This record gives sequence, C-alpha cells and structure tokens, in this order.
Amino acid sequence: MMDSTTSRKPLFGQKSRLLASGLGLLFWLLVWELLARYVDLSVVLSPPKEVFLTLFRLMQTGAFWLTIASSFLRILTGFAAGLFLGVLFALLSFYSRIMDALIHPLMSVLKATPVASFIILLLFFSRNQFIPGIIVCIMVAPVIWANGLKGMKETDPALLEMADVFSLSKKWQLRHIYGPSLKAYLLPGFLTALGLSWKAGVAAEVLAAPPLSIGGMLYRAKVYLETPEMMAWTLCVILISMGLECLLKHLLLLTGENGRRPAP
Amino acid sequence: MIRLEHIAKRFEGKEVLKDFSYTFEQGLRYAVIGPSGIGKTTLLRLIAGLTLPDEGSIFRENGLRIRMVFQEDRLLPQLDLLQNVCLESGPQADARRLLSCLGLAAEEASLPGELSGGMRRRAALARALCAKPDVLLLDEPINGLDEAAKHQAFSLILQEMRGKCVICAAHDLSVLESYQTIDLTK
Repeated sequence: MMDSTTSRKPLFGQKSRLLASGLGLLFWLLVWELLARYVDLSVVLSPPKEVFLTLFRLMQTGAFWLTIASSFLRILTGFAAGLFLGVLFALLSFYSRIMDALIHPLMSVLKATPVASFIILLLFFSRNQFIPGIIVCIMVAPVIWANGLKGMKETDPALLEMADVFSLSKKWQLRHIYGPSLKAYLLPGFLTALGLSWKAGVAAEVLAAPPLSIGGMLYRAKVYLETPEMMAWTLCVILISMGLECLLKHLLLLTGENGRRPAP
Repeated sequence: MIRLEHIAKRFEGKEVLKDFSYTFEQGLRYAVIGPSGIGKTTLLRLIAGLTLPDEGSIFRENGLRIRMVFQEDRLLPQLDLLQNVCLESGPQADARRLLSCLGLAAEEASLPGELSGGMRRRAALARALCAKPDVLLLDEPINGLDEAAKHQAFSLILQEMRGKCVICAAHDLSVLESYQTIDLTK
C-alpha cells in the first residue's frame, strides 16, 4: 500500500485575504463617513474625503516632507538607542545576578510609568528636540530587554552542555548558541517596540513641541481648530507606522528565505 | 588518569550509583553495560564534569581533554556539518577527513536538519574525534546506525583513539569485544 500525503491548502488564498482586508477597511471608512455626517461639524469630526484631501494638499509642500524626515530621524534614533540598551541590559542581566538585581526594578518602573510623566519630567531637564528620542528609547529598552532576556534563558540547555564539554569560548557560545535563540525572541519584540516607538515619539513631540515635528503639527492644528489637518497628520503617522512594520516583516521574511534556516 | 572513589548519585531520592569506585587508565577502552536506568549516562556525565556526585570524589589528571558523544546528536541546527565538526578551533582538513571516513564527505555543506538520524549520529562522532580528546565518552553512540556504519564508526574510533582512553555506554556489545567491561548491575 502506498502512503499518500497531500499538502494542506490554506482556507483563504492571498487574493481572498487582500479582498477581505480591503472590504474591512471600506467598512470602517463608511462608519467614519456616517459618523461625520451624523456629527455634521468638521471641527469635531472631519469626513474622510476632507481628511484625505488635506493630506494630499500637505504632501505637496516641502515642509510636510521635512517634518516627516525630522520626526522619522528623531524616533528612529531613539529606537536604535533603545534597542542597543535593551540588548545590553539583557546580556548584563543574564550574566550577572548583581546587574540583574539593579536592572530588573529599573525596567519594571520604566514599563509601569505613564509616558506623559516621563515627558513632563524631561521638560525640566532636556532640550525639547531631544525629548522624543529619549522617550522612545525609554519605551523601547524594556520591551527589548524582556524579550532578549527570555531568549537567553530559553537557550537549549543540551547545546550549552555540549559547549561546556567541548570547552567552547563564551564569545562563540554567544554567537552560535545564544544568538539564534536571542534572535527568535528579539524579532517579535522588535516589531512591538517599533509600533510603540511611533506612538510614544509623537506623543512626546506633542508635549515637547520641538521644531519640525509631526507632534508639533498635531498640537498646532488642535490649537487652531484645524481638525482635518490634525486628522491628516494622525493618518500620516498610522501609515508610516504600518508601512515600516510591513517593510520590516518583508525584510525579515526575505532574510529567512535566503538565509539558512534552523532545522525543525 | 581518572579515579572515581565511593561515588553515590541520587535523582529525586532514587539511588542511581552507590559506592562506585573505579580507575580509568590511559590507552584502555571500557564498555559500561547494564539495563536502562542503571546509571550508565550518569557515570559518563560525572566523568565529563557535567554533574557532581552526591558522595565521593572524582580525580582527573590535570589538562585532560575529555570530549563526549551524547545520546542525542546536539548539533547546531544553523551550522553546516563541516562547521559543526570543526566547532571553534578544529582544523578543517581533519574534519573533512573524519567526515569522509564516516561516509559523510558529500554532506559537509548540509544542515543537520537535512540529514537522517544515522548521519547526524556519525557527524556527532566526527565532532568528538576532531577535538582530539585524551578521553572519549560515548553514550549509546551506535543508536540509529546500521551494521556497516557501526563497524565503520568503531574502526575509526580504534584508529583515532589509539593510546588514549575510550569509555562507551552501550546495549549492543557486538562491536565492543575488545573493551573492558564495567557491569553496573554488579
């Protein structure tokens, strides 16, 4: 008797999934339109068409792109710093009990403290243009630290024993044994932290109002009751955040496909 | 070379080794035998220093190079076979020679996940031999190997470990005729 195996097809194809996503989006746009018509006051809730037109108008100005670039740079710098500190703290926590005793409460406090408290506190100490970056760093580091530390702790003990018997150096172990485990836990944390960094970064920009910032523009639009503009900037943040996440996922997928994948 | 004196080891209250004493000498080969759960793996792990005895002492000669083939292959899934055999410092030429002796020359660029269980087992043996150990610990090294591969593996061990110490825990004694027997049931 022959053994037959059939590959299991996904319930929905890629086209069907795209169509479903599109329909979902359309539904919420319709809800937004209906709500706007019900409120019937653009200052309170602008209709989608007006917001999209405002965004289109903004996109035709050089200041818009300069603002985006400036915020992008600020937030990504903070993100990179948070990533570096998160990994560094994870390594220190893993290798040293004393360092862990110091780092653990700090990370718990950072995770539990409202972002607005940090922003207000920083307004006393730092120049406004540095605050968003610092806030992003403060938000990202605990996420990366927690995921990184879990990755280190979940490393296969059988491989660590092998490394012990074969007297492999710590540096080699870090690269070939801890590294892959760390990577598996860091990547989801990386995506979470990226979304978080945009939200926290723009919130910090609203309160600190540094020059050429999306948050500053949001604040200005709110003060002058330019709701369509405020919503257009919000839409812009959402699109950038989603775009970055998509790009990152795509890049990670490419690396996974081209690189050598671990055995099952 | 390695002396175990009055070793006792318990796991969750169950005594696995009790008042065990033995001296392993350079240049000799030992077969540790006994049914499953008698303490063969525990004995090898004690010798390797992976676990400590509850009672008794273990004396090892200074600078002794002990390497082990575990019951599981413990190969790194993201490294190819050659990298797995060389590890940090093993010479590539030696690794290639050993892989070739074990019939794995064509697989040196393969990942462990792409190989059969028997191939991975042989690769784990090549890794241990490539490290040029003074003492080679083998924990059920022939599991998953066919007759031809078993003999191929043990003749290579004989050749590579000449004048050195081999301690092998196994059920199948057909390939361990020239080994001194340590029966853990006695």
